[in-house]
Amino acid sequence: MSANDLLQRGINLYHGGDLRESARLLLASAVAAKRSGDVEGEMLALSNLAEAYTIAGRLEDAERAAVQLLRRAREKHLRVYEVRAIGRLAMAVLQRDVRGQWSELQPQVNNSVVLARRLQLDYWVVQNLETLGACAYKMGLTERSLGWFQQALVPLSGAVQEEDFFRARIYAGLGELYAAKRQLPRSGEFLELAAEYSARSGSPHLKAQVDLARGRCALVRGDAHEALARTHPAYLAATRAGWQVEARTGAAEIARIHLELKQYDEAAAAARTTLALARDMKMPEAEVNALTMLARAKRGLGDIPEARELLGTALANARKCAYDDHVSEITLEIARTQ
Amino acid sequence: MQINLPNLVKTLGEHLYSDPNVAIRELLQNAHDACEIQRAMGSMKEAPRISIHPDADELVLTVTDNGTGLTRDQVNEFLTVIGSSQTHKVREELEKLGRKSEADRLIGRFGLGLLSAFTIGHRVEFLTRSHAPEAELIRWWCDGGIEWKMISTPSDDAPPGTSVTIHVDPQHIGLLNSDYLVSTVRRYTEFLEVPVFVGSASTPVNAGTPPWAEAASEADYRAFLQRRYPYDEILAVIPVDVEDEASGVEVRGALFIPDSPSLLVEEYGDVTIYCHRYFVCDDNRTLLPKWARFVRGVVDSPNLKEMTDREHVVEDDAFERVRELLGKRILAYLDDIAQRRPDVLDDIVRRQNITIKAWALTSEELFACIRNRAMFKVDGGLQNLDEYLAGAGSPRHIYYTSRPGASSQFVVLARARGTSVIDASSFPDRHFLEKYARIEPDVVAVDLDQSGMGLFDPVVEPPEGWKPIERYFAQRDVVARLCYFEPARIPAILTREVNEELDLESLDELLETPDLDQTIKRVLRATRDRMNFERERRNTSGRELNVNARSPIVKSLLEVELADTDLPDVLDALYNNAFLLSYHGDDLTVEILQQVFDGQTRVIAALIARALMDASEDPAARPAAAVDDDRHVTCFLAMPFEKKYDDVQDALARILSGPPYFFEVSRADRKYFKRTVENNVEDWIKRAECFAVDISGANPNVMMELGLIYWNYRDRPLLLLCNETQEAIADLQGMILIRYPSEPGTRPEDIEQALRAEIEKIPELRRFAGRKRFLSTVALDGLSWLATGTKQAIADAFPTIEDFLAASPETVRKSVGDTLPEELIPQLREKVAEVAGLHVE
Repeated sequence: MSANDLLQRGINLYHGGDLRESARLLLASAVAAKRSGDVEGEMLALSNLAEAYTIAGRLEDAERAAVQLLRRAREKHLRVYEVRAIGRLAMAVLQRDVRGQWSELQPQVNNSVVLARRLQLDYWVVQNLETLGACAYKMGLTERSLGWFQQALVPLSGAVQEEDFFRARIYAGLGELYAAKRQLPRSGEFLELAAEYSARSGSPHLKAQVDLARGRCALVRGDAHEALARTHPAYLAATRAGWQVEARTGAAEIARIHLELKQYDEAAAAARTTLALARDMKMPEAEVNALTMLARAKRGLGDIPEARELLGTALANARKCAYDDHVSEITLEIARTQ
Repeated sequence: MQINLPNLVKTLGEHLYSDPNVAIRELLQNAHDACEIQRAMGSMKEAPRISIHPDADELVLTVTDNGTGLTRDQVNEFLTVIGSSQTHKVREELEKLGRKSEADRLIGRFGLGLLSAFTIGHRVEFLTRSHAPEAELIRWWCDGGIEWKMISTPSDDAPPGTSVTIHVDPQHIGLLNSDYLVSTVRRYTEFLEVPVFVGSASTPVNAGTPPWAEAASEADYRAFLQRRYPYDEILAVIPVDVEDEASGVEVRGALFIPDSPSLLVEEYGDVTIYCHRYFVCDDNRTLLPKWARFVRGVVDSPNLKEMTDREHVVEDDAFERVRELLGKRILAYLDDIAQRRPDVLDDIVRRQNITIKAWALTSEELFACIRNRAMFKVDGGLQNLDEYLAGAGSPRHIYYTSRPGASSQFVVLARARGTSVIDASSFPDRHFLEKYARIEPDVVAVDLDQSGMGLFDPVVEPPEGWKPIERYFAQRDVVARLCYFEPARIPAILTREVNEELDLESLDELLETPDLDQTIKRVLRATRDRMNFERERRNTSGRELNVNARSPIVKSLLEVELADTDLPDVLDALYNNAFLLSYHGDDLTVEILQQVFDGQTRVIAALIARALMDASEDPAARPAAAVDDDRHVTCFLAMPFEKKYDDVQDALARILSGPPYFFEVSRADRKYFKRTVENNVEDWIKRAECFAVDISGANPNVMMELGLIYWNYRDRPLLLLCNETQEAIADLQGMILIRYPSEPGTRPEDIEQALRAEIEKIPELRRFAGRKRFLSTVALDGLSWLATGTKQAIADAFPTIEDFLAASPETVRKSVGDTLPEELIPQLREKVAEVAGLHVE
């Protein structure tokens, strides 16, 4: 099979849901294209491979594929692929370890937005701005996040591919952002828009993402039952389809909801799943969060020694990664767990 | 009449305003006109200003101005009636009063501004207070339906002016981004005199005055353009400041010619249009003349009219006139620099080479301006036509080629005559040269690809030896012509027939033109008939081989009668050589190159052999190794065509076709090279470099063949065989005779064993080591896993083991068909190489 055939088949498969086989074919396509000296073919394959890995939750592999793409793009002075590479890298980093890499990556993504504008790559302008917005939100930089989400919306028109996808994700991001600002009606407006566009796209993956965002906002509003009603089906869909990122997010959210409802057995089960997924995907911050939640659940169940042990591990991890806010939070938890 | 406002707004949003920014633009325009009206009324107490404030948390956008506010009556007149415009009314009044310059400052036109706010929001609030003494503060709001509300309160504190607030729909939150808003507002208002502030900034976003509104230098223009077009390198600046008294049209602006790699076709021709200094649109590609695709820039004209969508301009008479004026300005600039700074013009033409040449074909003025400056590829460099034709006699000839990659061979030919050839294979060079030749009275443009005119002189009466050559090529869809050309060292040149379809169609069209002169029609008809005749006469492949009668190789080819077996090789090589010289395009694949290379190798070997044969009178003195080093060795079997000799024949084949010999072992009846038996046998003997003759039974034919071999090819190894029951022939007793068993019940293996033991004693047979190895099924015998049919298919497809090993897996798979799984091909290659004692990559 030619490199191009492998590429097409790989893309078809990850759209079709067979992420493992898709990644295998895309990797084979990249190798075949490289052997035959087809630089663009190799880059296309790497770009899609990074995306497939990201969806499948193989985030480190996704970062590696994106870095390789970036290196090749710079070697060959192919700016279009440089923009793509940065975009892919940022998407993987956003999921895995945004705090660890934000300061290094953010200026590069900024530059790539400028470059994408210059090259009139509207898709990547929007994609990279959306990633910047999401990263900033994760870092607690609400106003910057709002600015980037706003800018991401501007170039969106019928001419940009996957407009519905972008709109749904950006509106969901804005919904969470306004929820965090306690502007709940505004948040609701954006979440409604997100749901509308996700329904319009017909993508179950996107629906799961939007439902998870709606679940998180429901919890912020204090409606744990609605939160669970939104989150649980999304988690199940993600688990079935192999969308590891959403599966982990969903499990973490379910743990958080059960903690809120003081249903500690369920919370502990969900936190354990979250922990396993976070470790599997090498997500240091998610691992710290999962350990903390599991410890809270254990404390709720009266298992103080295990809770303290878990918090000890969480504290060590947080210190190692210099998550100062987590360190304070966990220290407080340890004090509470007597 | 009732208006369905929500529906109207929806219609406006979807069909009239494709860009949500239009709402911002309209509000700014209204605010600007309010300030200008107040200024025209002479009652402006403060400096005019506009501020625009976004609030993403509340999702509101507010535009405030300190211009003329509205009274209650004016609100009723202008806000509540769609299409009613205060600006329009004031403009008319000012024009009536002869205050044109003040009227020109007003930019609003349609009275739809407020309405456009509903394309991004669901509620519009309007707070206004007129400058009139004791004017009320009026609050008006509308939620997008047909209902609106207005309340007024006396207020001495509120400053005069207007504030419009749009409650923006959530999906348009992007418009409320400060950075984005600054860039949008700057784009619209950059050249307006009224300062516009965004958010809480203390400096306006539109501090700039365009260079054409002040006495700007070229450096100012350049700096302005560089800011506007940060990604372009500016090659030349064309300031525009033109007033046409006759039509009353004015146009100002700054055009420029961007730097562009001369080998790329990057078309520009786009302008940003301003009207009354207010932004209308980017990327307009109709305002500049079509031929000005190497120019871009900014144009401001009060005569241009925006369309209702505010994103386009009306293409009316004034628009046409502006276009004419811009075209004249560009040409005047080019003429001017041709005089003052010819180096700059040269630079422009060189950098914009392809674009400017192409568009010069559509404009006589532009063509005249650049015709001697446009650059062409000549002998690996670039020359303009002045340089190319320098020193040419009369008429001056421009030799060019119009086929991609074909120039090299004509360069060689033309150089032999002391002439350079232009590579006009890229658009629009050929058309440019033809136009040039039409205009310049003493210039003739010659397309060598079409005619080779002046380079090939036909041989009027080709010799007899030419006929088989011509026939051979005709069978391969190639028209061969014998002609004279220089240099003599090139035996043949391949040219390609012109695709005449287009020309024929054009002729047909012309012939149907009713008012065409009859004389011209007659000439055209004759031309068309000739072209049709030529096309029918010619082959379909469109290839013509011009064979050089001056070439020593061709001369010898015409004089010597080659064997039928050699002729195709020689002619193929001749063609392949010409092909290599003629073409360097994408279709010269590795496979084609390999074929060409193999063909060349074969013919070289054959020619060497022939030369050596000719050099020697004594056939016995011919060294066997020189016959054809690149071919495998053939062992000719001379034995009666009787079944009882089959076992001997098979045994010899198994021995000599396998390692270490790898000979092709064959009797004369396996393949016929000639029509008669004698000639065929003779040909086999000629081709063979080793012989096995079975004299058992002293068959007369075999004995004749033995005689032929013995007396003519003594240098070549001869295996004389005889079964054990037969007496040896007396006259041959001096020769070593190989005996084999033949009693009844003798098994084929016994015969083979006996023969092998004797043959292995003959060192002479090993002198062919290093020659190519014939690939027979015997050589594949060791591959027990390979199906017999597959072995035969491989043996049929590849003459030698070397050919097989050199073939790509794809070629092997194609030869063998689906019988051999692709993944086994590498294994097969390894095994075959192993059998042959070769190393495989």
